[in-house]
Amino acid sequence: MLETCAGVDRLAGVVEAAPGMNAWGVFHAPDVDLAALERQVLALWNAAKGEPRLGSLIEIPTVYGGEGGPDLAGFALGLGVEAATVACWHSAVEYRVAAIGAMAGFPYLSGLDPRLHAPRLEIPHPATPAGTVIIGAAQAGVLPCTAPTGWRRLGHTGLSLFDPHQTPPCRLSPGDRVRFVPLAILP
Amino acid sequence: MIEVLTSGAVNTVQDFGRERGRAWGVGRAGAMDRLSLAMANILAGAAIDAPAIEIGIFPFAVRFLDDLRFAVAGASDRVDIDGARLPATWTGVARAGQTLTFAPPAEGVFAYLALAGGVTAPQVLGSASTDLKGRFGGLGGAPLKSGDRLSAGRAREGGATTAGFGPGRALVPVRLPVDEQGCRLVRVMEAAEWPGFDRDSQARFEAAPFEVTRAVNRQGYGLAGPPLRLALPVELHSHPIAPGVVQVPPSGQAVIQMAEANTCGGYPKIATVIATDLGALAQVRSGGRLRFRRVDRAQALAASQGQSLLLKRLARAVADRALFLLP
Repeated sequence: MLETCAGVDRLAGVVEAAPGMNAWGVFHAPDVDLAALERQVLALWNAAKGEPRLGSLIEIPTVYGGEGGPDLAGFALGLGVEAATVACWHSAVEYRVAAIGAMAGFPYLSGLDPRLHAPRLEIPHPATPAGTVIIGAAQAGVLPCTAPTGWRRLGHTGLSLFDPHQTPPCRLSPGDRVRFVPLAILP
Repeated sequence: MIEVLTSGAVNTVQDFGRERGRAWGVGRAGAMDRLSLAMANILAGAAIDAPAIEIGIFPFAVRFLDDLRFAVAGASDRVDIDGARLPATWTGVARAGQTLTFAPPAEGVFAYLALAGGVTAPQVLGSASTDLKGRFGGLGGAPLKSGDRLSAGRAREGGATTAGFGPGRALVPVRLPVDEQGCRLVRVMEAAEWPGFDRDSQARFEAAPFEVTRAVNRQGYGLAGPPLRLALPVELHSHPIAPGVVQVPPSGQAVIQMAEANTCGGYPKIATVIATDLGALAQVRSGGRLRFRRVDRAQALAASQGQSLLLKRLARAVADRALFLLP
């Protein structure tokens, strides 16, 4: 699919084709012939193989709870389990990078343990620090920069995910596998 | 070269923004009001999309360290050079030692300061624009602060005249038209989830006024108005979005994505503000009222061509010096 998206990206009149979780954004010149572009995109789509890319495995050292994961205790309480159990469920699985998006370097990770699925917050936390390990609905992620988030803050990592002066600027790519490695579980 | 004397937390170096970074989550950023940035650049003798300074917190003041042509545009109706008021949308030559001060404007939100040859700033991921959220681009990814120095692409005024001039009313872009109830008319196209909104919400979206709330920044403008509801609630995966997209969170209160929009979002999209109107929309203050008007692609394209033509006419007028000269 990523190769197909790259093919769309190279079509005449396309400014950029960017992958999302289960959708692409195709940004085109304003005056492009849309019907012709749609035919070309569909032709590439129909020729796609759909084999998932098996990327590299990246480990994310994480301190659960404490100042960096202020929602861990309350979330565990709501589930009726220990904070350590939530950290264990969160770190036991291998995630896949479904897409990079929203903000620079933010990985949408699929594979979250269904026991940790919970709706996004009604009111987002303002200015959540870079490196915060978060979960929202069926997804997991790590904030690459300080930003508001409506997801729950379980922990914190010192691993840098985005550097605009590196090529490529992102530590993770779609298809990569991710594991969280608990360094500590704080109250 | 210029030195910043007084600044604020959203005053940054901006250009037309980044393309082709979305696969890394890198959004467009760039000027909130591209048209005003383009006009300032044309007047100053810089490339139309050159880096310039976007000012959203006033007062903002700079001292010129060399003689240099500069131009102001956007919310530029309270700009002084050494205490002498300049007309809005104007270019002149400052002498070394002179101070240019942007006081809070009577109208609008963002003013632009362009320099001859463009403001010099490194390209990061294909643009010099400051991404405040990601903290990169511009001057070290940060807002301008007192003591910062910026140089111009062309250090000295090379033109035939050192006089000040401006485009006059004829070439100053028309701001959003205002209806009889004082609402600015904003042209939108239907977005992907438009058909999913219930009939009442679709009708209200065009009929009702929406007020720009105090929740406004480079990322988005929050609106207050009658609630907009989907006929059937949907839970969407995060999908690509762009500046201009009007999202509707569960509260039913719409948010317009602006220059520093995220590259992906999960809320349903009712409409998209056409690119031609997005800059003028950015100039509407908190408390200002909007009314949306649906247009089709042909109308949106025609509007975009009209704006390009306006910039071409301005560039030609600058080249011919067929402009309003300061006596």
